[in-house]
Amino acid sequence: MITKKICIIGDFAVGKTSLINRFVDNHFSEEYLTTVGVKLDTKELVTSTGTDIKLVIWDIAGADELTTAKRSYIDGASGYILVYDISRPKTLVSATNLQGSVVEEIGSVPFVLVGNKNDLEAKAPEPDADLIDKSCHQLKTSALTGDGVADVFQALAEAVVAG
Amino acid sequence: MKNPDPKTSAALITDSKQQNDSDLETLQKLLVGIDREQAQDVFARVQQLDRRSDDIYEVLVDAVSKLNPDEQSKVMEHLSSVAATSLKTSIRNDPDNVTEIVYPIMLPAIRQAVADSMRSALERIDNMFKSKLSPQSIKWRIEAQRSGVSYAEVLLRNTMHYGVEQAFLIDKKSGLLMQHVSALSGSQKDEDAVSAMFLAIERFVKDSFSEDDDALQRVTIGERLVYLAHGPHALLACVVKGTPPADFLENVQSTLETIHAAEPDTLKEFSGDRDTLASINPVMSELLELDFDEKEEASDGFSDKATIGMQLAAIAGLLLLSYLWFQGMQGKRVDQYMHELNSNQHIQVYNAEKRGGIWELKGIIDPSGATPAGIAHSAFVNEPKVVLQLTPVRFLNAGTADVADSN
Ligand SMILES: Nc1nc2c(ncn2[C@@H]2O[C@H](COP(=O)(O)OP(=O)(O)O)[C@@H](O)[C@H]2O)c(=O)[nH]1
Ligand SMILES: [Mg+2]
Repeated sequence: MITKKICIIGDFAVGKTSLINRFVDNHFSEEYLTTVGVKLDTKELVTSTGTDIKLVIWDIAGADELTTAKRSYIDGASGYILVYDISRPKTLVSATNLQGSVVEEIGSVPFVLVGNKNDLEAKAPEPDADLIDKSCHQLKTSALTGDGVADVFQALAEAVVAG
Repeated sequence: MKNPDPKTSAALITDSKQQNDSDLETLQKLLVGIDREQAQDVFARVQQLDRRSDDIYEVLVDAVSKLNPDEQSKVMEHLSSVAATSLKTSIRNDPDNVTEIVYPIMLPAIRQAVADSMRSALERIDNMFKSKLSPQSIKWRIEAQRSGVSYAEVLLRNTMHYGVEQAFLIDKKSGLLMQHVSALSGSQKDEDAVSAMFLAIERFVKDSFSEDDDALQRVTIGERLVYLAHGPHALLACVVKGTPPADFLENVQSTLETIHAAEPDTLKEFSGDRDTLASINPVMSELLELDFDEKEEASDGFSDKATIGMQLAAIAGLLLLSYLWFQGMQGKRVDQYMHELNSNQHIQVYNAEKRGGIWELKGIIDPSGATPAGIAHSAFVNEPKVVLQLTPVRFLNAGTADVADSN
């Protein structure tokens, strides 16, 4: 079993915390999020190559920009989930900016690009080809219905294990 | 004073010149009473400093030894201010010297004072807790009784106790758990998430309050303390229950240094595979052995509670049994008493009832017959109280004979 740190990043209210709550084994109180600015959960997975992996998921309190404090939280991450809300175009812009900040901070690590709230009417355009290229995977999800959620984490786990 | 020699007095009347000198000397001797040699000696004594001090020494020693208590205190009074001043000067000039002198005197005194204050603290705690009756205090009370030490001491021993419940070696970069040891049995919170949380809190404090690399050293979580030692690549977080000694964090810090020295590269480039750091597990396990055995406490917790329960039940059972036995015995004796009374042809007891711990026997008596008091004593030597109400049958107004055995 190996453990890896991953982060979930995206603008305010895109559904980051909802996605994790849909997925993880261990719930910790959401109070952590408001007090320390981060919530931690874990999920054990087996990759297609048969590797046991435990993801330690850092849910960082959302903003369209990483502050210095938040930057320190993404340190040591092996990958991240970049989330935008398909019903709010602005959140895709934030996602693109955030991705740049993360690269500046920790270099290039695999990330999954997630368009959440798939159950709502899509108002955001498709992401730039550039952003899609950088990502290891692009998915649409709904934390409300659970649609595609597990795939996001599985895809990231595969990418992280592949290195 | 020496008496003049009669022979030298006779020689005074000769008149040769040489004789004159010696005459003068003789005259001197006669008048002054001491010879010249002696006088010179006296002069020397006064003039030569070392001889004078020799004399003073002798005189002083002699004088001091002859002082009576009254004189002694007067001398002390005069000397003490001089002594104080000289002591001050001496301390100022060479404090080490004084420390050396005072150390053997002070150390036992300090020890004594500490012991005294500890004892009084124990007494205070003892009194404070005497009135409190929690299951825990009952347990400690039983423990104190069993081991023959004071309750306060048991209390202190239990509350001063500390132990490391868990130790987390945490990757300083990612918060990933590198190694974990625990003295607790049973399931715990996800230690990987806890490890990450410790780092998150540490980062949060550093970002918010201080740039210092080791800004956060201690976190209080409920009744537990988390001590954080900081190394170049890892944090070592110890979850402690109880009150550890002041140098505890230093111990943790040195353990972390040992770990860093043992596996510098693996720590630096931690892959997320804990097996790569299995070699440091024994070093971490040593932390758990610091003055504690929570395992025992955790697993014994239940059985201890069961033991107390059983002990209490046994005590209650015993009390109930002896009460019933006592009641039975009393009843028997009352029966016997009634029987005895009724065997007397002048008495008829028709009712025996217990009220508020007192047996009330009611009956009738022929006053010309036996005294009930005598009978009562024969049957109720050890009974607390029996009241016998006998109504004389010959008379119309009721009279009461109290047979109160105050034994
Ligand atoms: N309709 C819909 N609402 C969602 C979905 N995911 C999250 N939400 C809602 O969006 C709001 C913000 O979600 P939250 O998880 O707190 O966002 P975060 O700030 O990114 O963590 C909440 O009211 C959620 O109920 C989704 O997939 N569909
Ligand atoms: Mg959230």
